[in-house]
Amino acid sequence: MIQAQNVGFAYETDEGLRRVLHEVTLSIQSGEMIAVLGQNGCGKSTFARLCNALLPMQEGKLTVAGFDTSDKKMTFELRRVCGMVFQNPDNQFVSSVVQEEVAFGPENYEVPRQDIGAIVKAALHQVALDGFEHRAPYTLSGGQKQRLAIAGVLALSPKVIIFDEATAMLDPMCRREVLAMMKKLQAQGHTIVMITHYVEEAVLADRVALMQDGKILAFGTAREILCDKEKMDAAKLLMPHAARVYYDLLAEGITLPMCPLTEEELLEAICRFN
Amino acid sequence: MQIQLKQLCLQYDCEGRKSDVLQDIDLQIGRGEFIGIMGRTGCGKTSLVQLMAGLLTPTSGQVLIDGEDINSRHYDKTILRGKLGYVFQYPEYQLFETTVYRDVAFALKYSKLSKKEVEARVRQALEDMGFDFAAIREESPLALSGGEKRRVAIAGVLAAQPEILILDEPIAGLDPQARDAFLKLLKKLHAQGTTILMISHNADALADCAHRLIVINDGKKALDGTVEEVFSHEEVLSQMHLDVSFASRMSKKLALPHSVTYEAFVQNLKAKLGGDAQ
Repeated sequence: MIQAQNVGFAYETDEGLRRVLHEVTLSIQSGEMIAVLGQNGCGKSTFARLCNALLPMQEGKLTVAGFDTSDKKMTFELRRVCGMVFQNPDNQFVSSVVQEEVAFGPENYEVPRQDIGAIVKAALHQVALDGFEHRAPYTLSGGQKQRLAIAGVLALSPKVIIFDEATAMLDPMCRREVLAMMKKLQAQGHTIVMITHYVEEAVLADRVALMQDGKILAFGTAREILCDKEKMDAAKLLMPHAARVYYDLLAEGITLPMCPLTEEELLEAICRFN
Repeated sequence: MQIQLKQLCLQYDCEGRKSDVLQDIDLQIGRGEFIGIMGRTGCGKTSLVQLMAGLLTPTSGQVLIDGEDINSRHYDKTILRGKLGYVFQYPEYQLFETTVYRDVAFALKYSKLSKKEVEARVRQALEDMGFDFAAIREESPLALSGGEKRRVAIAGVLAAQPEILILDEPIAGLDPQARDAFLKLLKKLHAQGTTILMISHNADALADCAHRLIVINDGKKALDGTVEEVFSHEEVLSQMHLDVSFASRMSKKLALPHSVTYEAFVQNLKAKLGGDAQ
């Protein structure tokens, strides 16, 4: 679904070029849920923005849902199949009424007017915002706003949805709401890419890409990456709490039967140790 | 008391209806406290700290800072601006200058500091936020990544060296290393006497550095106590859509002595497992 080959990118600044991506090569399958982890400024968001041509391609080749992202003639179509949800939904809203907000995308893509009503209704239903049609977006809670942003993306029936730190500002309950929504969308066949700083969220992904200084440092299953102390240290990231406990006990000569990824697994490992 | 809230109420006009954002809040905050503020989205916690900072005017009640009513007609708000620093929820929107240096130095523009002193403060603030001063000073703040922008914006508030520092969700969007470094810095500022109020959903971070937690629910003060006290009410917090820290949750599940920080939890766990092994 997403194929990147030697993708490179540098921003122009007064100080000259600032390189943020360096020969990024990776392949994401259709229907996968991928987490991208890495330090501030490592190139996560730049990569995401290249995927739907918010930034123009400079080096290498990147195809998303069969579209070559450097093909300017197809940019409009590309953005339809590759939707993005950002950290602050308020920045994304253009309308003062929920249903108009969701209709904005389809209207721009010249979807026949008589079809738009049904599309909006279905999209709001998918994110469990039925009955909110006439509300103003600013009266919604943080989690509801983020779900509205997702509905706006869904109204265009995208194949890929990229969440760029979409849960960073949410309270724990709203975060779980949005994460559950991602899982549901994946189950419906969407390919999900989430950029996050919460390793506990990355646990939910099928595969995790570790980025550092504009390069892919490692790409593997959540367990392969998140429980690998060396790799996580190299990327200057912290492992999930449960895995950290495993290594901290190991340093004291206490070896749990397995390296746990989640709190439940940690409880189980401690039970089995006893 | 450095900050006192007396019977504080705030109402918003929302689509023609009056809605209570905060009701009858009484609070006393001493000089040098490090307070964490928790509450679900929309509970009124941001309004609460904006009232303390004089950015909102209460519908009724009083905000006293160092004994003075900041909403009194006779109060000179420049006094408050001089002693209180406020890091907004999306601090990167505060950036506007052409270079990182100019942006961080902006708050010092009208101070009586010499050019040299300004530079020393800007350097210190940027280094405290984990930047290489020489490398970053001439960059455009708008060309940085999301997390870097956030750190530059925070540096701009720190450069003014406020007595009271209010932070609204400052660590969301920072990578783990930047987050840890930032929490360490807050602890250092606290040790130097700064009063700190930090809003966060990150229970682990609050357990790590705050001494007192205030939980706001539905516009009212729901819980107020030490982190240990507040986190011992796990079920009450869960009803308010809030989490306790990893350590607090796990020590309960494993029937270990209650601890709220990761380090204390691992110590307790080592003692238990090490003891069992022998």
